[in-house]
Formats: sequence, structure tokens, C-alpha cells
Amino acid sequence: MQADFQASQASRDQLADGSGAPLNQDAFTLRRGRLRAEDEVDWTAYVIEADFNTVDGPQAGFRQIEGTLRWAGTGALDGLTVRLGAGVIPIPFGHAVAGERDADRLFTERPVFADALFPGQLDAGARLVVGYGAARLIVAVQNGEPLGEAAWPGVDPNAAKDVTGRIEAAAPLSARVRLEGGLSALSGEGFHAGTPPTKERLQWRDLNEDGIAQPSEISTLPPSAGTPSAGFDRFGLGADLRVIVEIAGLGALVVGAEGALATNLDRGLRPADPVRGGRDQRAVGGAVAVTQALGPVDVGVRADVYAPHLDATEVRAGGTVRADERWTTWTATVGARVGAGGRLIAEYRRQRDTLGRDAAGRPADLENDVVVGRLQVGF
Amino acid sequence: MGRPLLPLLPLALVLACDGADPDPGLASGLRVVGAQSVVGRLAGGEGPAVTAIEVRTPALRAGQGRYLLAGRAGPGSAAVHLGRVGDARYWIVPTGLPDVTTPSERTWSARFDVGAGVPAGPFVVQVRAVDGDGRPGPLAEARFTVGDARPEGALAVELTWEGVADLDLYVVDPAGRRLGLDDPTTWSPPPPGAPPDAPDAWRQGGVLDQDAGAGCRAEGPMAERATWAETAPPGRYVVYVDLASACALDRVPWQVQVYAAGRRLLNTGGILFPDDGLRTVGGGGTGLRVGEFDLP
Repeated sequence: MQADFQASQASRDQLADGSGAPLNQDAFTLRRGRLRAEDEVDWTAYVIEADFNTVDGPQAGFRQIEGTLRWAGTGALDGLTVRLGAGVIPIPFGHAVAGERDADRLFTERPVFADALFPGQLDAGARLVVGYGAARLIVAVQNGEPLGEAAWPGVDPNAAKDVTGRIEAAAPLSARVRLEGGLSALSGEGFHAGTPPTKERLQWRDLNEDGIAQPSEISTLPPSAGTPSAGFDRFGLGADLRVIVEIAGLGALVVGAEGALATNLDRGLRPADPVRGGRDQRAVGGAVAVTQALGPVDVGVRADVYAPHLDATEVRAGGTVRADERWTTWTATVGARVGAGGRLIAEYRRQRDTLGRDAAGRPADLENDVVVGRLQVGF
Repeated sequence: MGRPLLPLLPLALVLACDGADPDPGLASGLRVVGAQSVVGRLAGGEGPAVTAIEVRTPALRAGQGRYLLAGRAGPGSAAVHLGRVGDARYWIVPTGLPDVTTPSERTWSARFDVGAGVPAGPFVVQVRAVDGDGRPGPLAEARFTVGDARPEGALAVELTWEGVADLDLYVVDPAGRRLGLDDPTTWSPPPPGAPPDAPDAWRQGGVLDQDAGAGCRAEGPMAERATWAETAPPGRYVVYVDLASACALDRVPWQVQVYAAGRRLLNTGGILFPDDGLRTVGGGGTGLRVGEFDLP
């Protein structure tokens, strides 16, 4: 269970002008309340995980639900394991999405690019995991609609499936130093929703802005035919690497880096729709993190950056220029382990983005830094 | 300046106060749609000048919006700043493409709302251009007047409702003519061969302004208004409300107000439920009879 108190510079006691959603972000939140059951019996295994949170109001639902058939080699095949699972399963792309449990991570949230490309981290489908020693190959076929996305969460509107592959390995370099890493790739097809037919509409355009409807300002929009839906290709490529050093008298030092290139894969922060936009949406993201255990205390810093649309343009100073859309987050975190499963975490996130405007009208960083305090227990 | 973070992190506070203000500026009298708001009042300087301001209509209404303010700014301008005299904030709008007739100048445009609390009277918007270094030019002014919020015209029947739903207003005038979605004006042009009407003859009839909420789209205010601009025939009028679709709502509170020459004749309201759409007549009738009034 992770309960947060967050204070944000962007918080206001107002409602958003368009959506009417509260702008207050200074609040207590049940970020994650998880119940997880898992077991392995003979050739089979299962995982059932439920989630309770108040991020967008009280919510209760399932997360990972997976049944698995497993096999372990013997004799000449000793060390070889094969697992075939199906259900709602993690998307095997990158360490932040699939390799790290929320309860284990020191930082309160994943890097921005991981949540943007794979919101919710889980998708319905099947996966084959082949392991040998410290190496694993994972191939998953999934709907391509993660549980956390806005458009089609958990519902597949097209027949095409996303195929994700990941190969990961760990190797000791010495008695105190270990290396871990992986490569991931995804290929799939996204969905551009068509539009339904519309009935005739009466439209008034107040051309002279006098507030009075005049016949010359009233027109009838004829009924329109529906437009067909369409598919588009999407692609992702990722790599991650971590060096773990056991420092005597202190604890583990972990230095990690992760990055991803993607085309039309954003489904969280700025959902890609190249059919509507007229061009592919290329994105790049990455993160570098260092954590150090100091007895019962962990400290860590992380820098992550995400550019959701490398080819976006805007009109500025009389001409069309490339828009510099980029989210950069610097995170400093301190966590104290309490007992077997308890943890207190304090975190400061310095968020640099291009959501504001400076005096000359250029995109500028918006003041939206965040401080989070978290109480976590697990058993 | 943004809201301070927890006091126990003064260093974070110091580091964090150089960004753009996240306040949406909803308390301002002037609200520029989609623009960055900044605390402060405008002052002139030696930078590029605002060379033209287009005021489409000088008459504004409190609580209404999407008014257009546009113009041109001199060479080197990168943005314009807009601020209402009396407000504690101003707004930053980037300049756009070069002007077609004066290519050395840059165009700018803004849509703005007027806060509901703005009193009737003068509404002065100061405008200045700034160059790429943020250097401001001299102040220019766009002058407006905020009028009374009551509908204008000889007779106005206004239907408003809460939430995104598709309601339709119908009014039957004393002559039995129905004003509504299918007949958006009670004025009829003369038949072929007959002498033409005067250019403003339409003002003798009622006009429906829009089909709000059509297709369950949340575009503009959820309101429809039937207006007789200059004269309205005396007699008994009957008002109907038709629930074409409740969309995703389980209830739709509505209100009908009738004004004659600024004086309120009728104020009624109620709640429509999705099943009411089955009883009303979305396919050609006039819906529920919600009120009637006599116009002297």
C-alpha cells in the first residue's frame, strides 16, 4: 500500500476552464493499494492482482491476471525454463515498464517516457518466456491497448496485435559487481477512430458579435457521412543497463540507464494519431538514475527526458519553426526502510517542460514542481 | 510566482521560481483563451509598436466570451501582451505570420472571455508588442463597453441547461407560427413575383440562434435563444422544450427565461430525464409544453 501527500506548484483551488476538473493537486492520495495472490503448482502457475486507488476518485479494479503453463528442463537441458502465460500481463518493454515492481522502486513514479509509451504497463495477451541461466527471452502478443491509455483501455478496436520482444541478461563481473541489461522491441498497429454520421445542424456564427442572431449569420450544416476508421504502424526500440555494486558497510550502489525510440507509440501523454496529424509522431525518451543504500536509508537521483513529437511545428516570430516539446524531470528521493515491509519516502521532482510562455511568446517552463511524501507498507 | 512548496524544502523553492506562472487566471476580468497569464500590469517601452488593432464589436457582455481581438505589430515583434485596465494580470500571445499587405509587420489575434463579475461600463484592453528579447513597445488601447447582461430585443426567449445534452427550444407565436429547429425564423421572404421586402424586414420576425448540444458535442454554451429584434406580435406565446437526447446524463436541469424589452416576463425550470425523450417529439413535434405568457 502506498499513500501519498503531494504538494505541487501548479495547484490552484479552481476548476479547469474547459473540463471542470479540479486544479488542486495538494492532496492526500491512495496511490496504490494492491492485493496480490500467486502460486505455482506442478506445471501451472497463476497471478491475480487487484488495485485500489483514489488517483481519479475511488477506484477498484484488477491489474495483472495471468495463468501460466511452465516447464523446466532436466539432464542435458538443466537450467532451461519455458513459461507460456496468458491473461492481462506486463508489456515486456524496458526495465521501468516490466522489470521493476512498484513496491521495490525507490522513486515514487516511473520516468515520464515509460508512462507515456506504456500507460498502465499491462495489456491483454499471451507471452512466452524462455530462460536459461541468467538470460531470458520474452515474446508477447498483446492487443496493443494498455490498461492505462485514454482511448481504448483494455478494449481492442482492431484485429492487428502488438508483438513485443525482450531479451535480458545478468552477469557478475566480480564478487561485488553485477551487470544487468536488456534490449526490447515492439511492432504493432494503432487505430484511428472514424466518425459517425451526423444529423443536420443549425449553426449561428455571430459575425458582427452583436449577440443577436440575424438570418445572414444562420446557416444549416448538412448531414455528414461517417468517415472510416484506419490503422497505422507503430514501432518501439529500447535498451537498458544497470551496474550494481555492493559497497561494504553501506549497501548496494545502482547506476542505471534506459532509453527508447518510438514511432506512433505514445498512448499516455500525447497520444499518437498520424492519420489525423498527417505525419508520423517520432518520440525519444530516456532516464539515468543512481541509488545508494546507506544502511536502512536509500537515497537516489534520477534525470529523465521525453520528447513526444520530434517533428512538431509551431508558428513563432512570423515563421514556422520546429516546436521544442520536451519534458525533463530531475528527481531527488530519500527513503527509509522500516521493519520488514515499511518505507517512508520523501521526493522532490523538478519538472522542466515547454507548457508555458515567456515574455517574448516562446515556449517556456511552467512552474509545476512537486514534493511527495509517501508511506508504504507491504506484507 | 507559483505556489510555494513545503516550507521544509526552501532550497527547492529557490530553485523552482523561474518558470512560467501556472495560474489559469480565472479571476481576471479579461481572459485570453489559450494564452499564458502573468501577474503584473502593463507599461510601455521603446520596443516594437502595435500598428493596428481590429475591434470587431465594441459592445461586450459580462460572462460571455470568445470575442475576437486582432491586429498587427511592428517589425521584430515576437509577441503581444494584453491586459485589462483594473486587472492584476496580463496575457502573452505570440505573433503569427507576416501580414499580407505589410509583410514587415506580423499579425496577431486572440479570443477572449469577459468575466461574469465585470460591471457594466468601459472595458479597456491595453496592448503592447514585445521583441524577441522581451523588450516592450508603447502601449496601445482597445476600448470596449460592457453592457447589461439581459438579452436585447423586443422579445427574447432563452432556454439554458446544465451539462452536455441536446435540448431544443420551440416557441409558438400568437399567429400560430412555430419557431424552432426546423423553422429557425418566423419571417418568410415574399413569394416569387411579389415586391421584395425591405432589407431589414427580417427583424419583424423571431429568429432562433443555434442548435446547442447537437450530436452531444460540448461546443459553446448549452443555451438556445429565440429573439424578436425590433417588434414582436402581441398575444399569447407558448414555449416548448424537446429533449432530443440526454447524451450521457441521467438528468438535465433546465431553465426558461423570457424578456420583453429588458423586462422579465417568465422564469420557469425543471428537470428532464432520459425517458422524457421518449415522450417528447424529437422527430417533428414540439416537445413538452413548459410555459406560456402574454405579450401586451
